[in-house]
Amino acid sequence: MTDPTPQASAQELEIQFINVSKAFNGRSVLSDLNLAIPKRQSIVILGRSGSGKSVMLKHITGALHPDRGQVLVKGRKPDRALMESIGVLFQQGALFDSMKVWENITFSLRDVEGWNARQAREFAIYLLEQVDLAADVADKYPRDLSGGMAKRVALARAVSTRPEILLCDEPTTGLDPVSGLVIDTLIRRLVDQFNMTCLTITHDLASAQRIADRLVLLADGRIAWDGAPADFATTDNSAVVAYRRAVSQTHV
Amino acid sequence: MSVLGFVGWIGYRSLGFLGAIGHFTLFMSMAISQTLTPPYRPRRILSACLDLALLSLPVVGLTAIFSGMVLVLQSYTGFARISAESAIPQVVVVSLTRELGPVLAGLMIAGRVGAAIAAELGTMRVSDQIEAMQAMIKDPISYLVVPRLIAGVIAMPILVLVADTIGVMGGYMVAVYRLGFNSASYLNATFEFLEFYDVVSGLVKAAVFGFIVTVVGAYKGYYASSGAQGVGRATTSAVVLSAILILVSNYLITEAFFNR
Ligand SMILES: Nc1ncnc2c1ncn2[C@@H]1O[C@H](COP(=O)(O)OP(=O)(O)OP(=O)(O)O)[C@@H](O)[C@H]1O
Ligand SMILES: [Mg+2]
Repeated sequence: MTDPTPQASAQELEIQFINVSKAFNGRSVLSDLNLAIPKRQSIVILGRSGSGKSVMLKHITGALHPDRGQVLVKGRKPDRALMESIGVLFQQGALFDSMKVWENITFSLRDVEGWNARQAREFAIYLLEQVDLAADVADKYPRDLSGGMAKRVALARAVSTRPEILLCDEPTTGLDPVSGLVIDTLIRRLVDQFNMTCLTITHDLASAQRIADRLVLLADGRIAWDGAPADFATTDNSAVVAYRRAVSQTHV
Repeated sequence: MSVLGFVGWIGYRSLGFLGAIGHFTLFMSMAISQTLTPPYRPRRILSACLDLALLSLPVVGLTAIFSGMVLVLQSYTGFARISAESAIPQVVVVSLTRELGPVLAGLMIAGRVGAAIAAELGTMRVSDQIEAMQAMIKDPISYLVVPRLIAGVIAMPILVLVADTIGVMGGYMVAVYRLGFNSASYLNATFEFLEFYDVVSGLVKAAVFGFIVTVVGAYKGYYASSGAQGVGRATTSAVVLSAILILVSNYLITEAFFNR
C-alpha cells in the first residue's frame, strides 16, 4: 500500500493538504487527500492526465477552494497577501503577449518598487542572466521566443519577487529533451540558490528525478505513493507499477 | 408528462438565462467598482482611447460619409414628390446626429473594437495569462478591462462627433454637386435648425454604446472557454450581443429624449 511518509512533523511545514476533497459536477477529483510539505523541500507530483494535479496546485494559489478539509500555506488559508510569497510557472508559460520580456519579468515589481523603466529593465536583465539568457532577449516580445526560451523567461518572472514557494505546472511538457533538461537544471539551481520550497507537477519521470527531493504519486484522488525519487523505479506499490506501465506504453 | 416536460424545459432555460444575466451583471459591477477605485491608469486609458479611435476612424468615417450621401438622395426622391426639397438639410443633419451617426458607429465599433477586445482577452484567458496576472496579485479586471471601458465611454462620443461632421459633409457634397442645391443656403439650413438636444442625445447614445461594446467584449473574452474554438465563440457572441444591446438601448434612449 502506501510507503511510510518521511517524518515531516519535526520540520516547519510550508504547505499542508488536510483531508482535502474536491468534486466537479458530482465527479470526485480529490478525495480525502493528505500531504504535508516542509520548508525548502522540492517535491514532485506525478499522476496520470486528469488525476487532479493542476487542481491540487490551484488550491495552493487560492484559485480553487476545497469542498471539505483544508489547504494551509504557512499555516494560513491562501489569500492575496500569501500570493506575494508564491511564484508560479504556468504550463504554457503564460507570458503576456502584449509586453516585452523585461516588462513581463518585472510586471509585479514596478508598482511595488517604484522603479522607472530603465531600473526595471536592468533588473530584468539580471534575472535573465540567472536563467542563462542574454541581455538582448529583454527587448523581445514573447512571440519571438522559442518554446524553451519562453519557459526560461517565465521562470525568471516566477522568481522575480524572490518567492519562498515556487509552483511549476509541467515545466517541461512540450519541450524537446535538451530544453527540458535545461529547465530542470535551472529550477533545481534556483530552488537551491533562493532557498525556495518547490512543488512541481510533471508527466516526465526523468525530469522528476532531476528536480525532486521527494516524489509523490497522485491516483484516485489521493496520494498513492510517497517516497524518495530513487525508490520510485523499484517499488512494488501497485499504483506506481500501473503508472510506470502506462508511462512506458505512451513512450513506445 | 410531455407538457410537464415542456414546462420544466422552459423553467430550466429561464433559470439559465437569469443566471447568465446575473453573471454578466456581476462582471459589470466589478468593472464599474474598479473604475471608481485607484489605481487609475492614465497611460493605459490614453492608449486604449487612441486604439479605439484610430482603429475605427477609417471605417466609421466611410460609413458616415456614405450614409450622409445616400440619405440626401433618398430624401430627395421622397420630398420632391411633395415639393419639400428645402427640408432635406434639416432631415439629414437630424437623422445623422440623433440616430445614424451613433448607431452605425456603434455597430461598426462592435465589429471592430468589441471583437478585438474579446479575442485578446479570450486568448489571454485560454493561455492562462489572466490566471498568471491574478497569481501576480494584479487584478486583471482593473488592469485589462477598466482602461478599455473608460476609453469606450470617452472616445466613442468624440468619434461620433467626427462621424456626424463627415456624414453632413457627404450629404452636402451630393446635395450641391449632384442635385444642384445652393451651397450657402444648404449649410445655413443645416445649422439653423440643428438643436442642442439633437447633438446631446446622439452623444449620450455614443457613450452608452461605447460602454456596451467594451464591457460585452471584455466579458465574453474574460470568460472564454478553453481552446481556439472558445476564443472564436467569444468573439462572435461579443459582436452579436453588443449589436442587440445597442439596438435595444438605442430605442430606450430615444424614448427618453423623445420630443426634446
Ligand atoms: N474548473 C474546473 N471545472 C470543472 N472541472 C474541472 C475544473 N478543473 C479541473 N476539472 C476536472 O478535474 C479533473 C482533473 O483535472 P486536472 O487539470 O487537475 O488534471 P491534471 O492531473 O492536471 O491533468 P493533466 O496532466 O492533463 O494536466 C479533470 O477531469 C478536469 O476535467
Ligand atoms: Mg494539469
